[in-house]
Amino acid sequence: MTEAPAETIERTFAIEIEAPIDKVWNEITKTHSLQRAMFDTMLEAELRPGGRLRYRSSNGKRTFIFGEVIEAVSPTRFVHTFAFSNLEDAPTLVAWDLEPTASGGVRVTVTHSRFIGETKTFKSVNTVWPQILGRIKALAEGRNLSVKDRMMFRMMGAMQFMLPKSTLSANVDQRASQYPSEVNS
Amino acid sequence: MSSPDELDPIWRALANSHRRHMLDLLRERPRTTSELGVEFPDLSRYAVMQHLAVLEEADLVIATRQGRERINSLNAVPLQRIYERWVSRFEGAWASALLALKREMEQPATAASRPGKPKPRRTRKRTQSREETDA
Repeated sequence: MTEAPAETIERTFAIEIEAPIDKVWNEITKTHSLQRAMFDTMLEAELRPGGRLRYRSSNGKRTFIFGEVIEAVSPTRFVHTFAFSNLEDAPTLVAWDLEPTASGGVRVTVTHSRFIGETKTFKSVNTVWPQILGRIKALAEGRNLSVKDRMMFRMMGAMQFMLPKSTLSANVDQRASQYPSEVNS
Repeated sequence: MSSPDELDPIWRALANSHRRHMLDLLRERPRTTSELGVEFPDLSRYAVMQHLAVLEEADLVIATRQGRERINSLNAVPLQRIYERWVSRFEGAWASALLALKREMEQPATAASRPGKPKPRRTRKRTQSREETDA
């Protein structure tokens, strides 16, 4: 494991969800259907340390987030590195922790760390994690997403062709291969 | 849909200016309880801890221990839920008001009802002349 640079910052985001822990775990880690909470992307991930992780467009042509799985312990802990394909920022670290609550639900805590100062990645995820967690809650509790979210996802899908070349899946996979694995195999 | 009861502790926590200031400070970066105390010279350490307890109850602050210190971090998720519950509804109302206005504006204008609006009239004239040429 590489040493994190000294001056990094981290942020925590947490929400309580009234749904069984397995259902929430599935919503977060599923790879065979759209991750509606994650902007309608498809997660491609091998849930084992060292496995690769990509959040891709539904047609697979674009990749928005790339990283490596560091830890995957069903249904309580999922840790992976995280970088946006359209930004130059170095990979950060995301840890999902799921704990059962007294009321039979689950508390989901996302700890996002290793930001080297207030980078573009930092600014972007700060506003987006609360929305993502809100959507996971809605979906796991059996509600639909808001009309606004659904409209936004549809528009984002339609405007894919306008995205920079750096988001093309082949380019992302090539960039990802330049970062050494953090997991000793 | 979140029940009003679920958001109650959040409103209660936000109803105090000291606590709102604490959230502002924590938005910059996580801070220990003693660091926060320095920012509130008029409050006792006990009062600071009481305020933090209310914020924690509302899940606006997440506390972790590091040695003997308590580190308080902002959890912005409940604020987003308030936003979704209240503000986005007003946005919806705005959107439908704008759509109604658009419909209104796009209705064929009559000289009597729209005296000072030359633009729609010009469009109408152009359409008319095109119809004449077509015919």
